[in-house]
Amino acid sequence: MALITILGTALLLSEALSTTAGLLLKESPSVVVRRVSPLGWSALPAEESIRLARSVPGVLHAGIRIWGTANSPGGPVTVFGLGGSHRIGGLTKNVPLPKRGEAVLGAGITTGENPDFLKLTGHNTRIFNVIDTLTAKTSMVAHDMVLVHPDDAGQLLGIDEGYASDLIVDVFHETEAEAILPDLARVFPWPVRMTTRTEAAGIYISASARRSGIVYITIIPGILAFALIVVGVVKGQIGQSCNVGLFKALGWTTTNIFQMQLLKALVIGIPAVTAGMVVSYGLVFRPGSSWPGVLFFGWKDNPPPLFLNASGAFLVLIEMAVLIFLPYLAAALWPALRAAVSDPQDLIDS
Amino acid sequence: MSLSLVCQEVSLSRRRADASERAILKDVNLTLTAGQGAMISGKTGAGKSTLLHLLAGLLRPSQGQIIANGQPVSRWNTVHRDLWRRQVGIVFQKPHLINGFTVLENVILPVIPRGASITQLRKLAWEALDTLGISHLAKQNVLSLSGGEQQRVSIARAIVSRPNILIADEPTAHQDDEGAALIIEKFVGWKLPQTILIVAAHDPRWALHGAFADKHFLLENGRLEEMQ
Repeated sequence: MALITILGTALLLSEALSTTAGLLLKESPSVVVRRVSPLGWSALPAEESIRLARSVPGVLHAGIRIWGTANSPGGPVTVFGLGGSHRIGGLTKNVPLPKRGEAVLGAGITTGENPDFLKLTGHNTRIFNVIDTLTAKTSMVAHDMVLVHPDDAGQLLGIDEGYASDLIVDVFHETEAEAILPDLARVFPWPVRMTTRTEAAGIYISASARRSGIVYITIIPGILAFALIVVGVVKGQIGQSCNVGLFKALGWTTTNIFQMQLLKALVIGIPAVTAGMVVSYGLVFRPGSSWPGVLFFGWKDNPPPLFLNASGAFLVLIEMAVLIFLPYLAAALWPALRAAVSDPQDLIDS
Repeated sequence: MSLSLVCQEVSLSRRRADASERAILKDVNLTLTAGQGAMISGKTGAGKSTLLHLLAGLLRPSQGQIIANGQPVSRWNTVHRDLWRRQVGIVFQKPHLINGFTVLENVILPVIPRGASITQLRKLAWEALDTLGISHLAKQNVLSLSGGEQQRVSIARAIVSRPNILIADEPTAHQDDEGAALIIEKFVGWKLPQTILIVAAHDPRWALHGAFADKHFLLENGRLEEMQ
């Protein structure tokens, strides 16, 4: 069971990483445009940026975002301006739009002593009235996010009215994003840096792949332990050849012996696999379980929970079956079947 | 077809460690029909046990064939021989009980694959134990039994399925006089018109019960001779 738990945890974590990558990919815009300056990045004029972006053929939609980091009682948070043309993806579509002085919190935000108010410090200090909390399912994207009115966001982050942090552009088809980058760069009168969804996902997926690699390395001892168990099961079965011969001498058929071995293997194997999977599922996905995020994502403060979809769970079950259950069954049944086709007395004498 | 068991020119050889062949049985002929009891005698190492294993379908001869009810069972495939073996009850020279199982669990083993309810299986097992006078041992682990008790459990296991052919290898070897008399008496009682009984023994106590054997065979140097 311990072995199943180790392997199950590794496989579930790996699956969660790829599910997370897919979720982030789905929620990100086709192109993000930021204005760069010698000191880093700077705010861009909202209306003009939208107008210029829309003038590029192939652009389906253009919008602005006001966002940045501020300090909360629980640590640094990401402040987003939500309302009107200020978009942050579909994850927030079921929450009320915050008015001035109001805030909607991500699931990982801690407010301090009074849960109805949140004090944020950035360019200045503001106290917000908490009106709602994002669902846990949005945590992968919005765990440390605070949604406020765009004007409040601008004031808190030191962005002048009529300016935005960046510009987001959607295109009709994913492949067009790369093609319109030169045209987009040309229409802006200031230097910009653009990131496509594919680039963003690539950065994330390469990081995920590296972490998945680490996950798989951690299961190597588990695989070795499992190999030893399989060898032990095979040796045990060979050692029981005498009993198999005896059963045959007493009128058991090869089918009867196969059924008995299968039943024995399942009686041991199914509870072990079930219990191991339940424990590993709990370790990875139990609400409040934060160690995978800390270990594999580097989230230090209020790390979000991970999620698994039905197809992901099915995939993990198939992987577990291939990695563990089938070799275990084969180890349990194959020597018995080999022995069962021999002469009973030869087995009894073995 | 009525019950019969025939050895036809049966020979069995085994390969030695030095790769040479050792003949254990040579051209053995034997014919038994329903209602007959046979006693096979011979010195230790003469091949009595091997002959019984061949007759029980636990081994295949190197040459010749075993014919049961007119069918060449020794030439059948594994599946058919497995099923045919259900007609045979065998008492091994060593008890060959499953360690860790109770007496009742050991005795019930031959009838488990026959599809009866657990109540029926237990009833059959209790009857077999009663017959051998060891029902008081039913719940005990076989490891805690004496050699004689283990041998009786082995006999109970052989008769639990009420086989047509009962083959026993030295069934009284570990019994005191009282126990041996009980077992021999039972064997005499099991000799019915529809059964074949074969016992290999060099225990002289069997000679006191002439009612058992219709045929006496002597196995010597791998050859079987019927004694008149």
